Amino acid sequence: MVLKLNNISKRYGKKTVLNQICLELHNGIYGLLGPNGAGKTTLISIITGMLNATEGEILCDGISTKKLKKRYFDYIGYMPQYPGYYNNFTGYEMLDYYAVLKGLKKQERKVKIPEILELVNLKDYSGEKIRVYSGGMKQRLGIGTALLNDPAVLILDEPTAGLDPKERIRFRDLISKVSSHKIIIIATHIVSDVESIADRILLLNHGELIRNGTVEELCEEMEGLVWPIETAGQTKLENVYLYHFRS
Amino acid sequence: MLKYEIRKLFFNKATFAGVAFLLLFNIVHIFKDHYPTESSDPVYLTYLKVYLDIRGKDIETCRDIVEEKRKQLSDLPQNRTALYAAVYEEMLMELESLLQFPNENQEKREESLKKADQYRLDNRYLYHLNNELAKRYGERKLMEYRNVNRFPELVNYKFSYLLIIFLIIAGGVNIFSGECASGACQVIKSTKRGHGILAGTKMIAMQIYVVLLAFLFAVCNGICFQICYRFDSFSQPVYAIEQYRDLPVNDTIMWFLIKNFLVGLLGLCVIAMIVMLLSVLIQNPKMVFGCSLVCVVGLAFYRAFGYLGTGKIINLLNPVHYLLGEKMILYLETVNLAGYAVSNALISTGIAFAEMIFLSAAIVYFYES
Repeated sequence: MVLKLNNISKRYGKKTVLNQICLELHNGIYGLLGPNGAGKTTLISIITGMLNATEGEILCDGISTKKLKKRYFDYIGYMPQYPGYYNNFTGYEMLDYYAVLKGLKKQERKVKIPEILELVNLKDYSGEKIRVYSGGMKQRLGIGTALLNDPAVLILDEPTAGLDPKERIRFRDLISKVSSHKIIIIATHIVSDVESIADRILLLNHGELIRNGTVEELCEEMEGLVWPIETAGQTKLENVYLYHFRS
Repeated sequence: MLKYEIRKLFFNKATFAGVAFLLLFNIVHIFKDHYPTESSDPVYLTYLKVYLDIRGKDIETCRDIVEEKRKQLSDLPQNRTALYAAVYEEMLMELESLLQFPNENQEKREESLKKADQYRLDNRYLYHLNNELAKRYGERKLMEYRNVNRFPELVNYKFSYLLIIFLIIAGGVNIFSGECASGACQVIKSTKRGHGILAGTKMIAMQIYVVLLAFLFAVCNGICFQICYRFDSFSQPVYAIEQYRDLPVNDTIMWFLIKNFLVGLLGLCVIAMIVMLLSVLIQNPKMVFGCSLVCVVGLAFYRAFGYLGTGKIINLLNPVHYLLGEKMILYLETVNLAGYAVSNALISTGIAFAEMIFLSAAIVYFYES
């Protein structure tokens, strides 16, 4: 699967939120980093098909998403920062509801939902109302929702926000488990969450893609430009992040 | 999908509690205003006692019985019998008028036929209208006397509509905007069926909610008014009701009540669509609630004060107009359509359906964009 973004721009009146983004995404995990207002959410909204770009197009294995129309949503799995859970639904019902929305047939749902519950480690709680779930359980349920249609492109927006360290580790393990044959885009502020699992890092600032490379490549670029202070306890990628977004 | 939308919309404790509370409030309101007691409505209670002697008998026999009872009353001291005397007097007047009823209908029939004959050549519309009137007056007859005169109290009771509209607004505000506020719509819109199909399903769920609410309150009203006034027959014709005797409607009371319910329901469905449209357009549920209330109050004011001149035509688009559906059904208001007298109620129904289709299209359009 190859997802190609060709000169994607988004403008609201005179304000440019995204400017000429060109990207080619192959199977693997991508960490999308950038400060608030960098354009991460807008870029994600365009990739998920919720928002139309002012300019440019997205190609899915060489086919324009405009041509694919609603079939494009079969390729997409998305978990926003606040997925808006229905508290009077059980975990199973929530997955079933989204499976219906994703167009899965009854028989498919019967097989897929238990699989997902097993994968996100919520099998024992599937009959419980969501209102009793912890933050980590809700987040895992959100990822489960995004995985229901076995998407080729999985997009996670701030997936670890509000999670304790134990749940963060669990989340990373889960992502690693599902990452084969998928493009996974993780938009986050928490650099350490993507440092260990991302194959490539995308740095976005003021609507422009300023860097696209592996963690090692980005760290190499910084050689001689950054002097880490051991006591701050920052990782190499965090130093890169601080250098680029220091203003 | 519909099952889940119904659950999201009204299968929750808050909605159940709200409906139960307002239903109870409605019951209290009816009994407070309508339950006849010795102090509030002694005449009606006396009437009910007298009625037991003439129940279901033919009009002439009823008149004789009441006449006889009135005579017996004159032997008793007047201070103890004043109430009964008033009731007998009133009943006798009604029974006398009922005895004249066939003759009056015959006269009206002949008058309508005469008019129809006059218009036969130069006005097809009035020709058809008068023929219809003649047909209706010709079919009328009353075989027996039944206690139905207080039915207009049930027909004119509109307070429950206020409660239903409140529940529609309270339930409908979140239907689209609630999901935007919680963030759920972001996930929903990244799915294949989370666009037009989902909007359509939400509309169906909302209409099911409206139908259930309207039915629940209609049944509640029916039972409460039955307890209050002890109606004796739903199969009598509408003209058996004293207040509606001169109106050209030959339906049975039950059929008239069903029609009245359906026309009112149509108005409620249109109001629900307006609330849903506001819920699509405005993301903040509290704002949707406020705007919906303002919108309904505005429509009610326009119905009340704009029912003259061009306002009469514009009000055909006004869903509040349908909540007063009995006027459309009881008065034979017609429109000239290619020389045929087409009932205003039928045209209004068509307009309401057209409005709903238009609003549905607008909701889907704004939801998708």
